[in-house]
Amino acid sequence: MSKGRPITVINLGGEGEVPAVINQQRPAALSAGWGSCATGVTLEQLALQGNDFLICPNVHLPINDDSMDLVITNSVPVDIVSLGQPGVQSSEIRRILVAGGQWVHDGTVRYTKP
Amino acid sequence: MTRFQALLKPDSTSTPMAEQERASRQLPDVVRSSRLKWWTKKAAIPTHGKALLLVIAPYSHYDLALLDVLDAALARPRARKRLLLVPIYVADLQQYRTVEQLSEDIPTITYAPPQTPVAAVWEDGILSKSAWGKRGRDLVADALGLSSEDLNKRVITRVPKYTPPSGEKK
Repeated sequence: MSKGRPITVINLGGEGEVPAVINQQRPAALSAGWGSCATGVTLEQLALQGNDFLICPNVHLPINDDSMDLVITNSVPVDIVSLGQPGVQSSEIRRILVAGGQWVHDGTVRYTKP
Repeated sequence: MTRFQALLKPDSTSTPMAEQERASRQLPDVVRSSRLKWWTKKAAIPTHGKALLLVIAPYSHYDLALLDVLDAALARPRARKRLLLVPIYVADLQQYRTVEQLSEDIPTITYAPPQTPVAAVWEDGILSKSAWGKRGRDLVADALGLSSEDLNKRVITRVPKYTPPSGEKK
C-alpha cells in the first residue's frame, strides 16, 4: 500500500465522520432536506468545516481502477436496494482498491484486495 | 444492552450484504422480544394519546443503536412509567419497496427520505409530525420527553468508529 505516493482514502456514503478523507455521497445529498445523520448539518456546512465531497451515484464511481488504498463504509446499504435506490456496490469497491488495499465496513476490515 | 446492534455483528464467513439481509430478517423477532412494538398496520395507532413510529434501516448502526438506547431507557424504573405512555412502534425500511408504500403509512413522506430513521408521531390518532435522520431522532426525543442532545450523544457513541492510518490526503 502507498509506497512512495500519497495514501488515497475514500469514505463511501461518508459525512465527514472520518477526518481527512474524501467523502462520497449520492446526488440526493444536494437536496434541501439532506442533513448529516450524526449532527444534522448540511452538506455545505460540512464542506465549510473542511470536508471534501465527491457527488456521484453508487453504481459507478468516477474513480480509476486500482487507485484507492482504503475504502471506508459506515452504516450504508451494501449491494442491496433501499427504496429503489442501489446501495454501495462491493464490485466498485473491489475495482477501485489497489492490490493490498482494504475495505473497512462499520469499523472492521472486510476485504483486502489480492 | 445491544441486542439491536448485535444484528449487524460481522461474521468472517459472511459479507456485509448477507449480514444486512440477516438483520432485516431478524429485526421483527428482536423487536418483539424487546420493550418496543413491531409495526403491523396503521390500525395499531391508538386513538388517544401519543404514538411513535420509527422506520429504521437495518443496515444503520445509528438506527439500531437508537433502538438499543430506547429499549434500555424503557427498562429503567424511573423513566419507564413516563415512556410507557407513548407506544413506540418499529418498522423496517426494507419492507417498503417504494416511496408510495412508505407514504401509505406516513402520508407526510412524499419523497425518498435521504436519511433514517424516519420518525412519525400521532396524537389522538392523527399524524402530527414526521422527520428523518438526526431530526428524526430529535422528534423521538421530543415525543418521549427526553433530551435530544443526550439521546443523540448516546446513539453516536455506540456507532462503530474507525480511524485510518495517518497519511496525506489525496
